[in-house]
Amino acid sequence: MRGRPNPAALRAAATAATGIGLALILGVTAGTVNRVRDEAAGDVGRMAAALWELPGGGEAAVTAFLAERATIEAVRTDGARTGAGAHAYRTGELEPAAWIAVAPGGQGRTWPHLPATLALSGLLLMTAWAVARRRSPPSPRFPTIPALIASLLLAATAVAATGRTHRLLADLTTERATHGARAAEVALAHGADHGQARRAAGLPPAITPAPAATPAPSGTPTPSATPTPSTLTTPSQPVTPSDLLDALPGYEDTRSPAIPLTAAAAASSLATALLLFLLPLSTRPRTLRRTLTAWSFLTPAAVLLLLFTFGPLLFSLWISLHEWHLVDRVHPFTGLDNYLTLTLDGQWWSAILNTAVFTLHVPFAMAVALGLALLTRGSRRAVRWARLALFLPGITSVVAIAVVWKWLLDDGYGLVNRALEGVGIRSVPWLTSPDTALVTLMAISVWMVVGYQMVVFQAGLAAIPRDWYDAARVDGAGPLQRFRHITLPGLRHTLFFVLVTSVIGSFQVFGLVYVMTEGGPLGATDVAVYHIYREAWEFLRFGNAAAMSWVLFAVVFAATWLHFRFLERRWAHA
Amino acid sequence: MTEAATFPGTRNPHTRLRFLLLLALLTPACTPSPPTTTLRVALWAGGHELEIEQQVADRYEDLHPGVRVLLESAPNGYEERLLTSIAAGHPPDVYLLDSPDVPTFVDRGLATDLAPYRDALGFAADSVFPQVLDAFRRGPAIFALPKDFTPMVIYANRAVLAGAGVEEPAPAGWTWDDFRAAAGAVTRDTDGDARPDVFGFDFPRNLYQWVPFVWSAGGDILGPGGDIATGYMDGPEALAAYAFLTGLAVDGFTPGAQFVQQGDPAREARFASGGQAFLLSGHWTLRVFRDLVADGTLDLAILPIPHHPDLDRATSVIYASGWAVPPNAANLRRAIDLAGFLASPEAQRIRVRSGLAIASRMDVAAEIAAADPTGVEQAFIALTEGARMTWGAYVRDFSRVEALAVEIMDRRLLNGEALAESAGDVARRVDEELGR
Repeated sequence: MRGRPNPAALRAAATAATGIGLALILGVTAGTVNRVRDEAAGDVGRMAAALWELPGGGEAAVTAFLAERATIEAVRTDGARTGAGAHAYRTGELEPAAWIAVAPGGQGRTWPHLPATLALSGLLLMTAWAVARRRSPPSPRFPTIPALIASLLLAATAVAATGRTHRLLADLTTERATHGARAAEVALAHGADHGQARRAAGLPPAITPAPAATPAPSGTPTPSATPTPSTLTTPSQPVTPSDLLDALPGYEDTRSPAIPLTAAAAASSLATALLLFLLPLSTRPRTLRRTLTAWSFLTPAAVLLLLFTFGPLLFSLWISLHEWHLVDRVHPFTGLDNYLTLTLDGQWWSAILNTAVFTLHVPFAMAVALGLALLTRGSRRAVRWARLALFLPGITSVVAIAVVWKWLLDDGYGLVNRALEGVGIRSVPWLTSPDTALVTLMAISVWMVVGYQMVVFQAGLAAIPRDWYDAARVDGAGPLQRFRHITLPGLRHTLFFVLVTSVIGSFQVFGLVYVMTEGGPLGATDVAVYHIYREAWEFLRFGNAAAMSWVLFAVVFAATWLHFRFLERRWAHA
Repeated sequence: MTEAATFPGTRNPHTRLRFLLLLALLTPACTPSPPTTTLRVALWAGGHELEIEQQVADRYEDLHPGVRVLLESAPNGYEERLLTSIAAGHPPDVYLLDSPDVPTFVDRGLATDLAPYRDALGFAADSVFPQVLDAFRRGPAIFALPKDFTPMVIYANRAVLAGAGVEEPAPAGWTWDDFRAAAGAVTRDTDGDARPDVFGFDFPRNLYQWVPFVWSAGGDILGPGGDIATGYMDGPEALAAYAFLTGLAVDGFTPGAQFVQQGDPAREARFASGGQAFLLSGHWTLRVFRDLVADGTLDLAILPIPHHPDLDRATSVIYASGWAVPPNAANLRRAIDLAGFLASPEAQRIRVRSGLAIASRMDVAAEIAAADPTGVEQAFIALTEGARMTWGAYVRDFSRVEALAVEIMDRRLLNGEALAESAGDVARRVDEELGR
């Protein structure tokens, strides 16, 4: 039985995968809590450092701030390791650990990071070993129930760990707010102004509007008000813990372990299920070997697909459920708000409508491409050059094409308008009128895609047997009848392929709009992908942009499904 | 050859030679080299400007052996790239912060307060143009050390004015009526094709261009706190500015408007070649014209923005940039030191060769102006007085306001809509954005 896999070993591996998953969950949780404790210590350290630097601050202020929690000597003792005191904290010389004595969260909140992880891993490995020694034959129904149990166990642990960690981090946030309010109070008591007190509390710099200004009345113009710091003032109210809770992102928001925990649970469940799936096959070594061989070939592609296609897809779905800025530390969960906002966003639906109108160029382009395919069959030199010339726009950079066309179509000095004027035709505002801009882009798009479509159609035409045309000629069919009854039915699969891919491609149009019109004039060429781009990168609303992407996906999916539902069947049975 | 003559363990007589050669080659590689710290600087310079910045970086490296300064320039898509690097946890050590981006970065805690390091860096706040420094300040905190700045001014082509018999406007100031009269006088058809070939101006479509016209009418686009547009963006002074500017376009004193953010790509070439009398721009355009001015091809005048006839002076807008340090920079202390150097008088003197903008330090700017025989630099400095920093330096995510504001005059020019109507609608939508 050389090479025959051992069912017990597979079972042990599956159990071990579950155990490693559990250990991973615990490790992530413990690591998060410990990291945030350090961060919280650093935040309190910054408050102390700010108090230290106040003109009337110094040691007295820091001692007052530390109050009952610790003495400055304790901090200095730790800080002395690097030869620096509180002042040096700002420059990164003082280890965050030096502030743990006064950090929120205090002692006794540490997760038993390493010992617990090791203990649990060891326990589970021992269990796996014990199971492996039983060598019982695998049941045909074996994979389903254990895989389910393992997944449930991992999911339940992940949920519990997330909840527990969230509560701990929320406690740390509350304690930091208390410390911040105390720091502000101490700062004010030591002669600081409100701006300095806010800074000591760790609050971000803030401006508030000056007292309500009366809108400028009509009549004689008055000199303008200059927005200098004299009108953009700092709030003068005392700092309260609520201010800090409102203004600063909570640790539970910025360091939530939900994503890594979910990922750990999902990966472990997958590994366990995979191993358990292989278990019944272990009694059929040839099948198992073939399966493993197949998967070894598929794995690289599958991993790439998971990482770079499905991963980003799921991440964008996650983003669409949050208020998400690229660099904000907090991404509040908003549920379906982004999607609901879209339903009322007229500009978005206008962009979808523009995209749909733009897509109307597809059937026209297909008709032109089919005509050109029929005209440029053969291998004569002139025909080959014509094919090359027609195909070139399809392989040229969209940006280069857009730049050249933009110059050609310029209202004032564009070659096209000059040529029209030369023959007595009034110049046309190709890209500067809401009435013509989208149509112009559609025309350029037709010019760009016909070459590629023509080549695809010619491949389809080559697959139609010549005998059919000969038989039709013998039967007296004319060119139009041959086209209608032989060419079109013979090309139905090609037509369907070109139609679906072109519609999908036209829904994703971006380059032409980005370079030539920027969505204008007055939104006439604002298509869906360009709208999404601006929402994300110009207005930095990634949550909205992600929701728009999913709505666009749904629209494209629906359009493609409709094609399959109504056209593919009809054409397939034509 | 005996066996003893060969290298031990081999029978090849050349092996010893090869071995010694290899040793000789490896020796330099084994020599301990001084430790090198690499500091990454993000900026948007391109072409000649980047070469100048490299000279500044080289100078810093000379002064700080063991430090390497790596310039990571992104002339296009700078903000996207910078935000992405920060989000990815790999921020540059120092980055160039544009004044309209200040709230985006400062409010999100992406810039270190450099005020505590002023003394160590030798940065004197009172040596910098005050309105420039204010853009980067929040109370006592300073979130970027000013690099340079420019006010928006009117460039005038003296040859075009003289060709139309128009007297050059006084540098002290001129009104909208003066401007309109001059623009109308120079606009003409020179080749008999019934279409004008010389224009007075080009239509300033974007908010960053037209906002000084609103200010120079005594109005504003936002209330003093920067949180409301209704009553300001659609106020009578703003409407007067819109009417003045669209009037120039409707009357044919400007070429056809380009409804894209980058505006008319041919405007500078048209101005320099005598096809346009006035050009609204900042100091950055000067470097394009410098050679033409030097060889006498172009005779330039730098003029203030024209103002409403009922006022006695204009208010221009200032755009500035400064060096900021992210709080999570890998080498925080060295990064702060580098930011200080990049904003230092020495760096500003090197940088002035690019001709991109005005040095943020008053003493350096004055030196440059004194050494400029054309008087152009002095004219720019004079026009800085009374100019205001852009609203973008104070209002978070101002790009949304800018994106909406272009509609006001677009709707008038493209759809013939009343300015009061379009401005009122846009102001309402801006209020919604500001309230989000």
